[in-house]
Amino acid sequence: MTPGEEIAVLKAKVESLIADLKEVKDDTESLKRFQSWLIGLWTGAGIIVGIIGNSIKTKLGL
Amino acid sequence: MTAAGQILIWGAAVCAVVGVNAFDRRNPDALGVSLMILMMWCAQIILQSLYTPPASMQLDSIMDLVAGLVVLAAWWTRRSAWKLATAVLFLVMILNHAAFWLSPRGEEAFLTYLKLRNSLFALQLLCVAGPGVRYVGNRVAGALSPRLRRHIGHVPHQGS
Repeated sequence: MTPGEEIAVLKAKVESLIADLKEVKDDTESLKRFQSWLIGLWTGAGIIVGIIGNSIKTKLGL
Repeated sequence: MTAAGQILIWGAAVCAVVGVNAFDRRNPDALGVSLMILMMWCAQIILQSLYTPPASMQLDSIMDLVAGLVVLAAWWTRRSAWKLATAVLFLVMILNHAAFWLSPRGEEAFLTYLKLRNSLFALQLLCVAGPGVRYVGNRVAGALSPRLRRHIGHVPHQGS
């Protein structure tokens, strides 16, 4: 293998690694954003359950 | 249609939107918004079983306001057309709530309110399903295209 070919192979490998790294970075960012969504949804669900629970208590006269 | 039938159809539609958005792991906002809509829909069904309409719909305006603000915040931090369209639909929904609750109400006004509300909800579901449907469509097209090419390659040319 000539030095030029070796450089081409290495360049391809580095480009592939950069692409993989970008994919991992995107995945991590998406996961973090979804975690924020989950926290918000659980909070919202808690508030809704609280309000509806209070409504049920009022309706039952408790 | 019966109330149970309506609940079944709307429930299936909301769950389908969540399901189709769950495929795309790179779009957490689509899954988040669809889960939020599912949660709100469940809360509305519970309230409908506790109270008779329109009293059962009093909380809907607040829930839609909060949901609209959340979608707007999601659009602000990561822009895309479907989020803006959904936020606009939430705004129209809030205006619909306001028009109904702030004006003198009658049977006719309630029916108009319900029709507009259901139409807006269906449009919201379509908007939120958009990214998931596009993703699944691309994946299916990507999986089918080599087979299609192979299949077309084997078909003898007509008229040659």
